[in-house]
Amino acid sequence: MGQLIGALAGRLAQLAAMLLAVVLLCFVAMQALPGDKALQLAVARHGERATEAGIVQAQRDGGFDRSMAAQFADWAGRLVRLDLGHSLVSRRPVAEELGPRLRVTLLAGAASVLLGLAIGLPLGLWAGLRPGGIADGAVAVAAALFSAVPAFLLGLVLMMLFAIRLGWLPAAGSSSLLHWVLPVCTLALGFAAPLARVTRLAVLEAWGAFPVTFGRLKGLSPARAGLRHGVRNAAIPVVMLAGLRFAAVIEGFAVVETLFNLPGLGDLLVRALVARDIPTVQAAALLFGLIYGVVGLLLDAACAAIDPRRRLRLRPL
Amino acid sequence: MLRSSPARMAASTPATTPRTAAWRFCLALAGALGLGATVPSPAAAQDRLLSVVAPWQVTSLDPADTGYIAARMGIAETIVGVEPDGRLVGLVASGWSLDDDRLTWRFPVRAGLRFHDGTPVTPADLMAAVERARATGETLGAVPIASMAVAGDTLVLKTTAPFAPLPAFLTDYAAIVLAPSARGADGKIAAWTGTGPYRVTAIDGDRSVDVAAFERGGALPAVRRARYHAVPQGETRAAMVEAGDADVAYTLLPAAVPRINAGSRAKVQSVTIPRVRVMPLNVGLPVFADVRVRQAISLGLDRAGIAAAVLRHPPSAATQLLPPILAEWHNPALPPHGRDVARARALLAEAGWTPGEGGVLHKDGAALRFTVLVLANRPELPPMAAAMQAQLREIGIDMQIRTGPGSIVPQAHRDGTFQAGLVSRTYVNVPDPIGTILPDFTRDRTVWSQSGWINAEIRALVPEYMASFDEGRRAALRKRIGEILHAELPVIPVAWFEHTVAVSNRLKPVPVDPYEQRYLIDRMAWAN
Repeated sequence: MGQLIGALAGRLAQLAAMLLAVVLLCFVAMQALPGDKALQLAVARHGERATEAGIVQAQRDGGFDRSMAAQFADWAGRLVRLDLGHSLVSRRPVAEELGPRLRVTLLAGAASVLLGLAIGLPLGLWAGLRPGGIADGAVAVAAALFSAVPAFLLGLVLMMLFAIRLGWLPAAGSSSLLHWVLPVCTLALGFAAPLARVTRLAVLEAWGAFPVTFGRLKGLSPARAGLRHGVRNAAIPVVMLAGLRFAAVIEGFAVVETLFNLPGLGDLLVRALVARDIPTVQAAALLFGLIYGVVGLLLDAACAAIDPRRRLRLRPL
Repeated sequence: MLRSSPARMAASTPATTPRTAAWRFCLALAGALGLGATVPSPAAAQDRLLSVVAPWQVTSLDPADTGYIAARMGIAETIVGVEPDGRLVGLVASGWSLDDDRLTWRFPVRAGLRFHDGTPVTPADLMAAVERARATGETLGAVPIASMAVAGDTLVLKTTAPFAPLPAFLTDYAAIVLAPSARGADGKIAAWTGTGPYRVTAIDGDRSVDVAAFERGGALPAVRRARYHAVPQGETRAAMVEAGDADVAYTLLPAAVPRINAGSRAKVQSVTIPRVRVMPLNVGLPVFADVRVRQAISLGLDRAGIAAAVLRHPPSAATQLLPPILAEWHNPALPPHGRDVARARALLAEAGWTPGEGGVLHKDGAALRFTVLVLANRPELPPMAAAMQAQLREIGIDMQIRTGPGSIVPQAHRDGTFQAGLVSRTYVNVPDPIGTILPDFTRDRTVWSQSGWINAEIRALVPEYMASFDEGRRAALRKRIGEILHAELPVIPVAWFEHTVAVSNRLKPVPVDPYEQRYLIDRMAWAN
């Protein structure tokens, strides 16, 4: 128990260090971006009616004339008090901006990963248990196709087919559950494709490995031998992929958010970057880092639960 | 309401087979779960929700940022407004008058007008709106206001010098009149509590604003509820109206228009508006200082081809800076801009440019080459720039293209690297184009327009126009200002702008405001 707590504390310390590095790098990168920050902010606020007076006001609001160290110290000081500051564009508290968008992104990410698992796992299993067959070929072709098609193109095709041609689903928005079907399917299909390929490979390897062969030699049926000795080994790459993919979906959701007009974190981050809305970018970077860190911790825990040999690796470095 | 309950729809349908009953049960269940099936119900016409989609997000509630959304949705009104035919009319004010001194303007508050919170509108509210807009807005900041005072039910505004277009300047959305209760504890605008025919019922982040009809003078508009959806992606807006998710979609990509018209759910209405796609130049650069080079560039452009092939709207080819809809400013007598490659080459030769390496003209060892900054936020601009590049190449001009975000042009102005741009510029920030001509052509520093062009005549004519109340003289001044801009070409007009609106078949044809001030939802009506 003590070993586990120690390991957990160590990983949390690593997470904190990683978050600090992320926000520092992000802050430096924002400062290094080309262009006049006050001007970018004024244009984000007023569009083509941005004036010299608006630029001066933006300069004042953003505190861009202060030194980089002073700006970061100010931001970090507020963060210690759990204050993420105010968005320079909307002038609303950043926490209020991020909250509803985080909910949208997490919900869509979780739903798409679950749906992707529901599609990709059985297909990969099916193909892996019948290597070289028609099913294997069909799954390989479908997986290659959906892996290669960019999310925005897949989303557009789904939108054209199910919203415009058939009229079964709404094209875009987030005001009802039906509005979530197309974006979640777009993300899920993009996830199911590599998952099916990884699952197929994992099953092929695990089922052909010594433990399953040994189980068969013991007299177990192929199914029982696979279930008893193959599943755990095959599960590890699948779990790793699912976890990493979840984090990637959260991070890379912007294209799908934009296409389906979902108010998620990716869309906010892109606009904040263009507007040089530093408090919002910093908070989003912190959040993404946190999500990656937590997902990484959960993945390690899940892999350790599946494979006892990995528990030793939970120890702090 | 379009989003009627499937359960209600099932109850009103007489079919009785087990299969349809099961289907209805599913629909009812879906409705109960809030799945939002979009099925119209005649019985619910009163509650129909009109869905409006447009690109602009509600990034803040500050009227200087997004007051145009409040004004367009009919939530808040300005002191003076403009009708689609260009007439100025009182909105919060019942009208206006000018004293004999030509400095004192009087704006009486419309009798009985109340804010959405029930409080009566006072002249002090008008004064607060003007003061707020002057502090942040480009438009009202240009008005030489000496003082403002309240006299009974009237706002009395004095200028330091005669300023004839004042009523036009008061249509600026930054000066929407809001109730005192709209201000938060910090004094900033925290709500859109206005006087318009619709009141806000909900705002969902920066993506949607829900409104409901507000009774004024004992009458309610035909459309009782509406929702503004901010949908920045053009393809998504088109898809929403094609799929029946939206009733009115503003600002469409040219490529989407024939597709929408070919469908059965919506049709596109378009009207040319006083917005122009122009190429502002840095006239301070040696290459553009010679007016013959500017004229040659203009003559090298195939505007008709660009309008037909890129914009898919041939009438958009700009024959002069301001389009015919600005009847007072558009001058049919001006020789139209058009393509004349031979004349362009002759002008360049006359200016000393001779053929050089790679077919590009040279003079004193320098190539006739420049970089045009293209705003990516208007999707038609990059392909327009590509077409212009090929056309100018034919007359020996090497135009490089650099595409970037909205700030790319003002950034280049600020850091002194601006050579040329391709932007979409509105000439009706206020209904009189003088509101744009003033900052674009009479100031030493501009944000969005040309630079380095100092024309003493224009700088004298514009103030005279603003101070003149003699319509005959004003017309002469407009004519002369137009002639100078047409001949001197500090900005090269390329294409006028067509305001495209996709309208669902569920609606009767909608009025389109070419001044982009209002969506006129209160004048819309359901088709059945």
